[in-house]
Amino acid sequence: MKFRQSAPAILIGVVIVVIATVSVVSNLISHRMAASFEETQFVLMGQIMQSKLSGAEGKALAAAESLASMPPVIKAFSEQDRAALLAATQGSFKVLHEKHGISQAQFHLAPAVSFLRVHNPEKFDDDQSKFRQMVVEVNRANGIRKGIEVTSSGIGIFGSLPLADDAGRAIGSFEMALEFGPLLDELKRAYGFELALFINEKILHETATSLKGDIFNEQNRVGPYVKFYSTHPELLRTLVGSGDINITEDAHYLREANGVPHGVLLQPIYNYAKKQIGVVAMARDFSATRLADGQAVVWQTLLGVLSAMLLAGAILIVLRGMVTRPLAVLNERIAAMADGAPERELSGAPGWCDEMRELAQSCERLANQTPADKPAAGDAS
Amino acid sequence: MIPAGAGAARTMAAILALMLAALLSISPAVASTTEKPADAAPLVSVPTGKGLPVVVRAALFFNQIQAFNDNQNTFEATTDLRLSWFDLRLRYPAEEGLNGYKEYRVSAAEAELAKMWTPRIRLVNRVGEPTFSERRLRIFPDGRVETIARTTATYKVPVDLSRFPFDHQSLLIELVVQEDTIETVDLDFSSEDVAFSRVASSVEMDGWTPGLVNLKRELVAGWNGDRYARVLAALDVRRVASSTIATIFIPLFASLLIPFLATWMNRAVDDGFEVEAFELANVIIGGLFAVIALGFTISSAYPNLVSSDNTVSRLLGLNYVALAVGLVITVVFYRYRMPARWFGAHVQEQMFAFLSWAFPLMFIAIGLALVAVSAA
Repeated sequence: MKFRQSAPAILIGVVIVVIATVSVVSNLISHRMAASFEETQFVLMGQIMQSKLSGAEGKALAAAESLASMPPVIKAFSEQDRAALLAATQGSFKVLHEKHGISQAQFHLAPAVSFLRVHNPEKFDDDQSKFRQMVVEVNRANGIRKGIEVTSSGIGIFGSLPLADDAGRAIGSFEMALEFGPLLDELKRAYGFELALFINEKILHETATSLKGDIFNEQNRVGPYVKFYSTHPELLRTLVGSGDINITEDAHYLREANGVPHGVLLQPIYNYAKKQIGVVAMARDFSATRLADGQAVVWQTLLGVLSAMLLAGAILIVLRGMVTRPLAVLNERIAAMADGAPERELSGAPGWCDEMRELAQSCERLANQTPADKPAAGDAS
Repeated sequence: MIPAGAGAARTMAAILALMLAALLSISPAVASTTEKPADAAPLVSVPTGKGLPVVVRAALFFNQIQAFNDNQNTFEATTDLRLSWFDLRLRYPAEEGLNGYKEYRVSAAEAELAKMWTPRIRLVNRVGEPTFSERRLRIFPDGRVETIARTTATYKVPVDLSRFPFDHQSLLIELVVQEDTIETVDLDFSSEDVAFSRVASSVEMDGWTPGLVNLKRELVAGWNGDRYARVLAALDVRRVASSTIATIFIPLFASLLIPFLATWMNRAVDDGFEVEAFELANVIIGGLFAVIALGFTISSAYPNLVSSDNTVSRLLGLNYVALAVGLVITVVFYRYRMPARWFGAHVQEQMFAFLSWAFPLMFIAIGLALVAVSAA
């Protein structure tokens, strides 16, 4: 084993292992910090969506309660006077529809027979009890209910309440629904998210019979779902594919669209009967966190490489320049002395460390001793 | 089919509309539905048929990008700006409109538009007058008015080169409502407008890849708390990084090699060096002039790159630092042999041996890291 090669190799090896370990650990820590921040963002996005849906349910219910509290409405409904009921409600509904995204308003007779669709007065008397469990529940339990439902007109966020005549007898129920689109637009405007709503194609096809057929096209189809609404169709098409959308609980992932990393959160949408009817996708530009994470990795790696090089240099300079190279010169001199070579100045010796110079001087003294100077073998003590 | 309800019911409906408006925090003006007859001339006042504010929806299609000059922060494009709003005074029986709408083109459109209210929208970042402009007008039976303006013009845009050559830029067109505050005229967009807002698939940009168009609505603060609606339509373009390698990055990394020559050209012998200091100092000074010339060339061709903090300006800085280190090595080692004086000839020999590989390696590693940081 040559000390000149093996000692620096061992020390440099140790330095590299230690620095590599520290770099990897610090990279992991910074990566985890970025991931943790992104995780918080996903949680926040989910909470915002849930809060918005809950607010929309409350808004639909409040609008329904306000309209249903009008005496002419109660009177017309209790008398089952469809024409008077429409006259009493259509003006208000028009304003709410045009300005506030209220898309549906409907009076039901128990259990769920449509008495009047204010948004579509020509269609009535159909029994919806098979797919409108919320309405059945309102009429059965005589209590208010809120939730998301797919109806013959599409999907809406409903607020429904039971109605009673002046004598307190139950006469049916009334509901109002908010459209999903304006809700997603509001979220985009407020938070910069891009959103899309996907509804199960089979459910939509079977229930939403009044829906225009152009929604069921190949471009809108994503797995078993069809894209019902999107704030940025082109972007969401890249971000949400048929392989991603089959979820039964919240799921999130990172994906690039046109070179920009996006965080995508998918949330299942359940109807009032707690059956999953769709998925809502929320996407947000994550380039800031990805950039910070990527840059941290580069800087930490560079720092590790530079540190390892500097420490390796220090090891090489100290070991070879101060120890092994002087030892080699000394060894060369001792070998020459042993062969009887005359005294000469050692190359580079003035710059050696004290210990090495003393060793060199001792060697020179030893070489300069005449046989008479040397102590006899018996005088060793 | 269903006869009108009783007068009381109508009154109640009006009251309820006000009540719901208050509940949903809207202006009472929404309840106003009084309209002028369609033949009343000229209808240039703000249409209040659907209440205030009048919501003008904007969408922008990038038909052609003639040029994008990231040095002058400008781009020239032909765009189709679609604006739509409701003016119920312009309603007409559906059978009057061919194809479901009345259409007016160019001069006929201008003549028609002069007779009606149009939103005053200013393209804030447009430079000068458009080189081409024509409008088309469609009026739908329900009172929806749609104008499409095809315009070729130059626009001023901010350019951020901090991630050069892996940067994205936004070719931005800024639309702001002039004179009318947000209470009167609002500028917004719908999902349909987002779908309309894209770049033509035939658009090709030298050195850039066009991406998606994003619409963003904002408010601009005015005097005394006034606010004006603004919509930003931005086409995201990504630089083709490979196009910059030959022109910028190869010269920058090549010039980085010059100071390394000062160590590679020399050899340690006994307690000194084979080549004299002044010869290697000449190499460094030559390198300094080369880097100055390179910097000058880059600043002439890409002035924005040198005046901002980005990979190129950092690599230029790294070149100067490398030259300075090369000069220090020349003076300290070759001229005065300070390490030999302080620590001995063997230490100097080892320090020189270390520097001959570590000096280039460190600076190349830093250079690559600077590029990687912008690519991260």
